[in-house]
Amino acid sequence: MERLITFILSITPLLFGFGFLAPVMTQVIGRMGWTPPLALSPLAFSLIVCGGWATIAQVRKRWI
Amino acid sequence: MVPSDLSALSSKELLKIEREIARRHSGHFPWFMVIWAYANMAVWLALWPLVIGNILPLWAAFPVAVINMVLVYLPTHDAQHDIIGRPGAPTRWFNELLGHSTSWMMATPFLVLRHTHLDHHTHANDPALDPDFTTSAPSGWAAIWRSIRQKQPDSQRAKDYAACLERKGRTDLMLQAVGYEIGFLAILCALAWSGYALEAFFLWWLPLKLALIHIDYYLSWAPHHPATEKGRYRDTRGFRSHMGNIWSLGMQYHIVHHLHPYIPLNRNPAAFHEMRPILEARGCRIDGL
Repeated sequence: MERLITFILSITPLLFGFGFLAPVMTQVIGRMGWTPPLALSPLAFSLIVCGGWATIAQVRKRWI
Repeated sequence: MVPSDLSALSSKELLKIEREIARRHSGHFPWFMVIWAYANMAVWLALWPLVIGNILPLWAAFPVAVINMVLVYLPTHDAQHDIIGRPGAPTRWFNELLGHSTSWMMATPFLVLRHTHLDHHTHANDPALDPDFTTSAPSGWAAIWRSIRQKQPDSQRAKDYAACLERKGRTDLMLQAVGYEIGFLAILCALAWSGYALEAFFLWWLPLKLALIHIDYYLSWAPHHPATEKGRYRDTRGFRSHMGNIWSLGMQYHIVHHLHPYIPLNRNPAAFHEMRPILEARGCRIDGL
């Protein structure tokens, strides 16, 4: 249990980025009527952008 | 009544008058804070069905949610200091209920808030022992930036809070804190993938982050700035907020809170004005008040 909690905590930025920020961005794109580049779906585009940011945050240990 | 000439009084006599004033402003059941706590929570909870049911637009609900998140900390803070019910009092259970039933909105366990906050009172401005020392900064803007930085994964404050709980022998509370954090994230993700991502973002996550910056600024940075002195009468100051007493959450009178933390928040201004001559005689900083 302790290992599982430690593991979850250690990947919090990734969970936050993929699990929360990406769907937020997807809904923003939908509400604003934007079209993502390269014929990507709003969700795929959001997962790439937010997932990328989350990966950087995971490595740097800071979002900004 | 404070004597007009305090110069002839000893330190012990000054303390006696100070405590008499404090006693007059405390000990009553703080209905105001209790109503505040639950009215605030009710308003915030009501935002969800109103927004999801398209009765209230999200842009209108967002500033209300920010205010709710700012306001939730203060009744919880009174409960941390046992103001609603001291240990052994018939209302003790309600003190604990209020603390636990409101702190979840901030995704932090009540007991973690209590233990770390009481340690802040004990060690105010001590870089090694004050769990809130990371709010100190050379200017207001620097304080805001530092507050944002302390919400990042590499936060020093999280380490300071963990160290505080370890010193107090309450490492069990770390598990609670982790549970709240994971639970909060799980709720946000569940809402987001159920089609309520914007609601979760603008009604909870972002309001909470903005509120914590506001709270860091007014409850921690401003009343302790420049956070270089220690001691009962020097580690906290009174200050004049350009934004007024309500915007600064009554923290202009935070010095009274540090001297007598059992006085309810809404009674601090009156206690301050009565104590003022004593505070001046003690050499306290009451900058611009």
